[in-house]
Amino acid sequence: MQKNERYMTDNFPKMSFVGLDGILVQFSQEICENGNSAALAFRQEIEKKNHPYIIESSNSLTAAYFRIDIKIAAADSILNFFDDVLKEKNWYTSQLPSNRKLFTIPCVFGTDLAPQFEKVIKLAKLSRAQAISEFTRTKTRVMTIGFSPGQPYAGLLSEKWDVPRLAEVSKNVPKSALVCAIRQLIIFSNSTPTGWHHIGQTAFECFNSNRQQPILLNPGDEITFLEINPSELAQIKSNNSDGLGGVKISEIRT
Amino acid sequence: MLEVVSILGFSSFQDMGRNGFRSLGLSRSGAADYYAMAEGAALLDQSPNSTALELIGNGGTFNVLEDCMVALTGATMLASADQKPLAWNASHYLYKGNMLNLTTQQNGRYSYLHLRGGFKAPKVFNSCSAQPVAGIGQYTRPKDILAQLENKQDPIACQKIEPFNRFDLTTFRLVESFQTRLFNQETIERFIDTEFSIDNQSSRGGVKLTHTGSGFSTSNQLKILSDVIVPGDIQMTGSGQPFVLLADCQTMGGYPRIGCIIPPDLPAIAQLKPNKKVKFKFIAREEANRIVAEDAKSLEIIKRRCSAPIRDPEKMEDLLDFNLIDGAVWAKD
Repeated sequence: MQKNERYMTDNFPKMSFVGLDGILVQFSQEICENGNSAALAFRQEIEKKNHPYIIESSNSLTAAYFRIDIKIAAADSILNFFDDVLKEKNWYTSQLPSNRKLFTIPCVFGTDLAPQFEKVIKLAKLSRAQAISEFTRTKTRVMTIGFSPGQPYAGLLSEKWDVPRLAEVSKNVPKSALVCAIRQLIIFSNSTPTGWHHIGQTAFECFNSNRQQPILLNPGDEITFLEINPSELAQIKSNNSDGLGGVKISEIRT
Repeated sequence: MLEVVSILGFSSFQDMGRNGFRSLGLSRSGAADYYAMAEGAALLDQSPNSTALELIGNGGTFNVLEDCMVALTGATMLASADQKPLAWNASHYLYKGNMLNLTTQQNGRYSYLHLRGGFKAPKVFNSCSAQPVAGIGQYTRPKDILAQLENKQDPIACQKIEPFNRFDLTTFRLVESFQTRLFNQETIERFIDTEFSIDNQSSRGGVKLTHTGSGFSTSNQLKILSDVIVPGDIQMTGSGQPFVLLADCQTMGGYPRIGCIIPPDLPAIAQLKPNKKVKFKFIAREEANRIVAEDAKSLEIIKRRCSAPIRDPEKMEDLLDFNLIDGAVWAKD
């Protein structure tokens, strides 16, 4: 609660423009779980109100984004509407979305498949076992889906994982890679150049158009990992047309 | 219906893109040059959202399997059917057995082949726009059959269109965005004073810019929280090198954005060829809104830009192609 008050006095929630046709409602400057829940709940509430000027919306880690149809109305004209909704309640104490799921994803840590693991655990001052237990014994929450189809940004890892992104971008980190930086982890939907540290390799495809549900993860879901070795990963990959990569999905009871 | 014989650059199906799915991480996608989509639609009397074939960097050769009507818009290319030249920014009838050849882009990077009735392409999340790097659709390959979605029979006349002026813009208009003020005033001023060059490392996701002098960055740049990205954003990578983000850009990212190009200038920067010089200027939101409204109005009256093809017998290779006699269109009728 103390933290909430601090954010409120720092002029959060705060509304800003994104380009000409977007409005961003930010709930905190730093990544934090109550800022994330606030952003998810606020977007859900605005979507419910079905405003005719809003073309689409999305969530980032601690903000809600709305794209306005500027052929009908200038983005400025929506600010008062948002301001009124913001005043309706304390968004920082919002509940997480319902029907949340836990994803347990098999993952190889380090080895040639994930070459930046050793360097990152040195930065984080952790042993291999300590580092892996952070991923296999704790659960991280999907804070948002973005960048590319179905791709989760999950957090928060413990403070030791507050490592900056690399200044030099790695050329091509493969699809389904587990990467981390600034207390967050991502599983890549597609191979991509990145400044994030490649620490693990899974066979879980965040987006697979062969599946009835191409995108499985939603904000609020939780992710944990099962450590496997490279030959076990190869075996999973040999029978992976649905791109599930051996994931186990269970309901989270609240 | 066409069969791809060869493709020289990159080519994919595009419509006006997918809206409403960015919360799932899906990019807006869609044609890099919306003016070209509108021009093609006006020429063929159909929706601008009809799927067209977008040709990047170069064209290709297509075997015409069925009589059909096409339109050619965007960056001008040398176009021919069975080696008889076809006018660009115009619609044409093609006949079974014709070999359509599109080559040598002249004034830009994105050219469009439109088919009357639209191309038939798989719809993913409510759009036929391909985004191969995101696992949606594929680039066009030899032997692909490019089929027609709607079988339109009623004959319409061939036309030409006066294209929107977008191929030689040198100063691009920006509005401030939520991260602009993460850059200090000195950096913003230096950015506005700098002349940039279009790099050849460009894609549907973004255009890389190069310049002499140091990069543009904010303090603590590598620890900024990832947040929303939109097409038009000018993003500074880790080394402070600007990228102009286009339709296939990701929905989120961590590198800070100094400003956002207004929508009507976006097709123009996408079209610029490597080594072209560009500068940026910030404009007020009110002015930007006014420009967007005018742009929307000029698109509403786009049909006024259409007219009958030039009938200069000196320039004519084949009288039939120009419908000199009566404006009729089906040569077989």
